[in-house]
Amino acid sequence: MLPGNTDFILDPANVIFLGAFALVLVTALGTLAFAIVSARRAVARGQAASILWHEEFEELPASARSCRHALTGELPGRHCERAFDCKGCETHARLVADAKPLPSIDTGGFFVLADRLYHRGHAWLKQEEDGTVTLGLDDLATRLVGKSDTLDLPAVGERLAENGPAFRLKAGKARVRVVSPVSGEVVETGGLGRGFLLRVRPDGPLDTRALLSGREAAAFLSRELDRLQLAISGARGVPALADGGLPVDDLSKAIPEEDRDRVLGEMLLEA
Amino acid sequence: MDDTLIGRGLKRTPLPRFLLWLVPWAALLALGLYAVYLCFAVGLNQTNMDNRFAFGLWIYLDLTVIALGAGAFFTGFLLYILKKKELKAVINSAVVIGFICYSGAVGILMVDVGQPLRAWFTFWHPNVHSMLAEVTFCLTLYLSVLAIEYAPLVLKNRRLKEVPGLLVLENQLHKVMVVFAGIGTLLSFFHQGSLGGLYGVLRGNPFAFREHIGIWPTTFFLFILSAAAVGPSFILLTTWLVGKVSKKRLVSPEVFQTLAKISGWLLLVYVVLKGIDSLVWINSTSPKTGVQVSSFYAHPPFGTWVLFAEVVLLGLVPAVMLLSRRVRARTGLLVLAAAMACAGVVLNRYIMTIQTLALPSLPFDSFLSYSPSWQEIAAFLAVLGYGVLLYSISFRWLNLFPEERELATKG
Repeated sequence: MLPGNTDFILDPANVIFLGAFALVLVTALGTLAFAIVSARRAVARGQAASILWHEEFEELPASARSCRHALTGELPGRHCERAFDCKGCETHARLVADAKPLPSIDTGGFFVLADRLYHRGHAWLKQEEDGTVTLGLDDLATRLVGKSDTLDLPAVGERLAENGPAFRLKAGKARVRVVSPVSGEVVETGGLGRGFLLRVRPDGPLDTRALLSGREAAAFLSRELDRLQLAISGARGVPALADGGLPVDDLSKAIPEEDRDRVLGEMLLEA
Repeated sequence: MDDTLIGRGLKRTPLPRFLLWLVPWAALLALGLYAVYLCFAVGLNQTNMDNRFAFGLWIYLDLTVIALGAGAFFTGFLLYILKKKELKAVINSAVVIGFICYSGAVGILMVDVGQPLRAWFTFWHPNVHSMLAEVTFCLTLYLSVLAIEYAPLVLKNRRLKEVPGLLVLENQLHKVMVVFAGIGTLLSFFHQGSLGGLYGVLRGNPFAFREHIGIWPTTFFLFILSAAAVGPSFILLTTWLVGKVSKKRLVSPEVFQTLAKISGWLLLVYVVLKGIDSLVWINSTSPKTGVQVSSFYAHPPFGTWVLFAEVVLLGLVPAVMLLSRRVRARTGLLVLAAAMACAGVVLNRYIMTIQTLALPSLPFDSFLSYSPSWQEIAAFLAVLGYGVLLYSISFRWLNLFPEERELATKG
């Protein structure tokens, strides 16, 4: 086939035929090699968590992608297109600059603590005096998970990436990861009874513009309760949580075991 | 273990029941592999083919599955190049079906050539003037492209995607998928066409020979068009079938509507062109060679009904049905129309392969009949077994239908 092969004749038919296929082959192999090299480079640069988060985000239903300003009623019905990265969002910057007073929000019976910042993957972050931050599960997620069978925390010294997996938990048949609101190094591990799950030393100055607090966080949790009811009732055909009352401490009991993995995945933003 | 491989929110049958479902298909595959062993160990005398009837059940199978598997390239073309976003709901399944069809075809070809260890000869000593050389190059390249397109589906398995590097690779592959969709379209265009051209250039066989446009016989274009037309119908049919077997809603009705409309319009254009081609062949091409077309249909069971069935009953009728809004509104009729369209291309490939070889092409020739040996049938069924096995495993552990979870939640 190639020059050097005894059958090879340098005529137009051979050149066109073999040239066309060589071009297609080189294009296919080149594209494949490009994808592999790009993937390796992205992993080496520590971009894996960001890529994974964006991929997960695109698969989330619209109800899970509400803009923070939609939650507060400032921009009703608006959905986030930036994977909850408010840092580069012009709309967010404009609204913060305008500093419109937020309407009063019913917390729906959940605790929103003043010293915490909330990620929409249901992790909270608290800035400590020593420059570290502590991470934990917000009130809704804590009640939703109930008694976790296994809490798979990263070891001290491991690195977390913003929007990458912070830790994993297993409850019955459900296995789900919780997204980290911050990039940094794990300096201490806690537990469900210790008030925090991880203590992290952030990489560089802490940027919390993408996180929610105060009434924004309360509005978020209130909206999340609606989403939870839809997630449960979708499979069962009837609302599983009573409207009008306060949520019970252990919401996990309201979710049938066979649906728990799906519901936890939907609520903790894991496709 | 099995639970952790199944996608979140997807309901699958219990593992023992799934394994039981696989048993008959695995048995078919095993029987076929034994037949393949006999062909390799004893020789191609295990088949009922000979020098005169050199194309049999296997080549017919190849042509058929390659035509039906066109849904993969055509759906990819519509989604990635023409941006028909609604087809995202079936693209994963289309890729798996395409991979099964093409790998099955290549597997059978390896048996058919008798000496698979010398398969590389075709690449090293190609006859560039042969349609078959182009088919071989395109098939192998396209199968490689399909394997690359399959890879992201596997990498997105629930367990595998927990490995960051693999999901990043999946992400990067997804970004360049438009290139592979383009390559797949180009390769499919030429090998579907060359498979048709293979018959249209047979000057010594008036039944198969057709007029040429440029260097290509009309069958070149008709094969491309027929494959593109029935590809979406086959995707529709298989999606419906998988939904019935698994008792699940896999795609929204709008997806079926889109597939049906695309298939219907292309089939209509194909039938018109096929009709024109047949009229030219009947009134000009064949008489010029000294043979009247009526003589081709004088050998039972190949009567004129074959032509009617191919062009009208399984061509025009399903095209009109697929284009009718009232038919599309009723799933039963829609699926029937898609099945008829697929049957039409199956019959076309049968006629082009078997009837072409059965008819006498020289004055002293006689009409030949051919029945495949059990080894040929077993190898044929092995492709079916292999296909069902691979599709079943993919359906269980990979997310073939992105809308499935949402549709299940809606109830």
